[in-house]
Amino acid sequence: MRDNPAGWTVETWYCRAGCRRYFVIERHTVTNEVRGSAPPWRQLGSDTAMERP
Amino acid sequence: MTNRLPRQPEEIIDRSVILDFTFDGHRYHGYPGDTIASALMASGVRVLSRSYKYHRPRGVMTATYLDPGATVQVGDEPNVRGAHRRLEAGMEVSSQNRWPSLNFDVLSANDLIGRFLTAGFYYKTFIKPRRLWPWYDSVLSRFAAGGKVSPVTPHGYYDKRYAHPDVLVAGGGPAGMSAAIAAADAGAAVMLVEEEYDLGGALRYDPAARFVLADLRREVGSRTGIEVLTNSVVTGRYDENWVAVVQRGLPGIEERLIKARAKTLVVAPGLIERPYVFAGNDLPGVMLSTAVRRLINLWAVKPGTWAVVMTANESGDAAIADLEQAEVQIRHVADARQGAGLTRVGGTRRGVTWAELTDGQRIDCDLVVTATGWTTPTSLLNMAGDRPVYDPTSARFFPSRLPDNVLVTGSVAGDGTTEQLLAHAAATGREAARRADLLRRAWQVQRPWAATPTKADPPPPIDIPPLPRQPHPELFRAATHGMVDFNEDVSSKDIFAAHAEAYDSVELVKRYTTVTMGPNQGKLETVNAVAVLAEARGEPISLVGTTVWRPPYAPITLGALGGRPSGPVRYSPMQPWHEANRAVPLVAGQWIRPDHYGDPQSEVINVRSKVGVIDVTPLGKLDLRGPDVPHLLNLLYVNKWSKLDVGGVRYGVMCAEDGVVMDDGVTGRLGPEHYLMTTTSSGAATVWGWVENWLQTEHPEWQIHVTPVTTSYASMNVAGPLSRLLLHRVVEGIDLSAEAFPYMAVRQGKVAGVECFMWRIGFTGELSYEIHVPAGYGLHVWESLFAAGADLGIGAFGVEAQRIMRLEKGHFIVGQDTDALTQGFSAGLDWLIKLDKDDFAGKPELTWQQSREFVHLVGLQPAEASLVPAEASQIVENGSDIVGRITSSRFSPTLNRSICLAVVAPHLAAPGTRVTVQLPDRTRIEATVMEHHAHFDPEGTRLRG
Repeated sequence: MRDNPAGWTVETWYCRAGCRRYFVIERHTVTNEVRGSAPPWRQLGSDTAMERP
Repeated sequence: MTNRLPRQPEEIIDRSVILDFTFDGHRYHGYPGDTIASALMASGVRVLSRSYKYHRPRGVMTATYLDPGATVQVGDEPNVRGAHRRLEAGMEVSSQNRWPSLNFDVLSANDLIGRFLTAGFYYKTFIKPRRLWPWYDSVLSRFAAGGKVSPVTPHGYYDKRYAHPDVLVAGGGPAGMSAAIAAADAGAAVMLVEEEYDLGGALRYDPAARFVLADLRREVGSRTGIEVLTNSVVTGRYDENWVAVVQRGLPGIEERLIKARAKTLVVAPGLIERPYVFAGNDLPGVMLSTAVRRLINLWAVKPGTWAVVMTANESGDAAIADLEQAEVQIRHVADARQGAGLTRVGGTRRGVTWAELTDGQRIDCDLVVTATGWTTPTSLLNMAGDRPVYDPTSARFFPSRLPDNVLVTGSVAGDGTTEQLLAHAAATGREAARRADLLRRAWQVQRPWAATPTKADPPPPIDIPPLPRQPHPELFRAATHGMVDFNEDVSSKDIFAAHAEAYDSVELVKRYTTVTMGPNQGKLETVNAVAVLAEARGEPISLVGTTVWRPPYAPITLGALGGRPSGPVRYSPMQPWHEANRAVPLVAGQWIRPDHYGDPQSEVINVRSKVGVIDVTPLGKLDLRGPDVPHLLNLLYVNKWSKLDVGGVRYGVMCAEDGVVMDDGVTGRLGPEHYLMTTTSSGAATVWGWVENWLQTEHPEWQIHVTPVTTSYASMNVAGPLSRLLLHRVVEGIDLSAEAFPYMAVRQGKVAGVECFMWRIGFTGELSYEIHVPAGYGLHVWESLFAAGADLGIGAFGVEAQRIMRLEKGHFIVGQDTDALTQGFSAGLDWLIKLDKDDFAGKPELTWQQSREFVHLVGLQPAEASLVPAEASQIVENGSDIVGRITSSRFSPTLNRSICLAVVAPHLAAPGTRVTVQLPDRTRIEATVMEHHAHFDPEGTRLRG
């Protein structure tokens, strides 16, 4: 199960009506502020981020 | 009888034009500018409706959009706000909630037994025994509120618009106008939204404010930076100031939803006058001071003859002056600031006839006016996260904490002289423009490529002078009980009763009594409800709290939410031929397809006996290239793909990760690293997103390129025993013999001179070829087939004939025979699902499903061959236990009997089981579960021929 924090959370988004890219982003569940983004195979803020082609 | 006054200085009616209309069949007239309610009142009509629960007579009370007594039916439009809707010539107005007539209403007996119909009455009374629920339902629906919805009402045109104002001002009163002017002068693009038909708010019916109002209107009108929307209302505020505006009264448009993304929102709705709670407070003739002022000054309507006024503020005092000027006799003024007040009023079903004061005096009258305080409409502030705070000194709520992009001004923010309020509003407007400018600058930093010249330095914050708060006595309820919620017929007694039954929180009281849950959603009644509950609890209002106002602030039609009826529409390149051949259209998502060409049953027979052709262009098509495509297919489909040779085609089903059937289709291998995947017509976009999801998030290392090519190809399926003979005449470069081009193979060549690829598959169960050609040649190839096949009896067939034939063959349709819970094995895919594959989407769930009992999709034939049970008819046993349903049913011209697919419980899935089907009219028929899904040619000899 995922945590459901009142704060920063990591989500995968899909730009369905635009570039059709999936990407990972951080969103604040209270303010809806977003920050950072990365290709989907790299977890934001994770030290174990995998390098993929 | 007329109650129309001589010309009033600020009146908004045009007496040079007379508008005729009817109310409950009687003829009346009014003038342009009248509302339905003002025209009726001017004609001497006092009772406009019956109330929701007790069917009590009701008349004008607020003379605004919120008036709970003036809801009427206009023609076939129910629930029209009669005190807001402008009168039009020829309107057929009727009253609601009365039976058989407004003056004599049988159900008003409810009123007599009203002491039994208290809070929770329905919950307690109609709960046992359960078998009587249908009967309760049929009786209680008689009592339900509202007008009549006509099933044949034509659908009008509804519109949507997107807007990006710098500053959006909600409320076009003096504060809103002043804020808009200041914001526009600071360089902002302003949208000013006003619920009434004219700007001005309370100044419109204040003769003393004539010059101030004229100045403000002129200033607003002279600024190009202000877009004024009247008869429009801000109905919701969402994250980052996405502001929903409902715009009404546009020519040719029923209603428009404006989706505005405002950089800053200025909330300036003014105040809503609050009714006073006392016995008889809902009788026709009991009105608010602002209602009286509107009726006299805007519509020149004399609201009564003998008046009793209870006043606690300047609005009440001004109403007295207006009444005197209109030659209404003031029988008594009870000044609440001196401790005087009303105890109760009484009357007949035609309205109030007497009022009793706190000192025991009884006074004859036909008009009772109250001015006992205000409700702050904090809806938009609630939606911005604010929890307004009650100030007992001023007897109303004030905003507490707002985000930077929301500001308030006007009476919501405080009191003061007109000059003080206008100065506050102007400063607020300048500050709103400044914050919008800051936001624009921030966006420019993020988008340097879209730079517009930025002024050197951001201006400093504007100092907004605080507004004073004027003391006001706390007046909510007299010594008697009366209506709190006029929409829902909830009295103060009901709230006390709810409290006595331990519903002591305001949220519980709301749900138990339905107070504030009617059409006005608490705009008139919330504060009184809270105050009465506070009284019952013996605590101050601030400890009771309020319910939270949520969107929508004002009602919005489903039509406006749905938007334009004309979305994007797709046609195949063969559409001109379909139209010329009188195809009956079928709307299938964005596609318009031929449903049939007049007689689908004959189309079926023609395909089964000769040859037919169907336009299948809407099939979703994805071009897949790269060395890793087999990995992708193995991952997304439940069956195996590793051994598909070049020239081969395979059927596949995709399941979501919960094992639920998502899509199906065939994929063919056109070259060593080149595949074409087809999807269902409706699933094309979903499957594309699904493919991209797996490639981008889980397997970025796979070398696969995906191109959607649905509309790049025109696709047609040639089906029937003569299809090979027909294609011999038009195809070059492909050996069509059964040995060289077998079932489930793909070949490339030319058809009618056009490069194509075709595969042998068969949704219809016949020998058939699906041909894909570049879209631009679609019509040419289609017409060439017809020219070449005329002597063979070629005929076009549509979606309906195809649906009959696929049902004869027992092929399911995703979304028709499956639903959001249908996992793979329930769809009869045991033969296809390969749980021995390494991994694929949905495998864990399907593995789990296989170990359990599950519902089955089965072929079903009714005993009575001519009877086609309606789709979604239920399969029942032991009386009324539901154990399945019909998912597809048609009459098969091939078998000359009705055939079905059905979902049944595990114990009914064995072939030969007899089941009972309940039809929509509750009659029951017998049917038999078949051995195969396919009713016709289960071995598939025809399509392999």
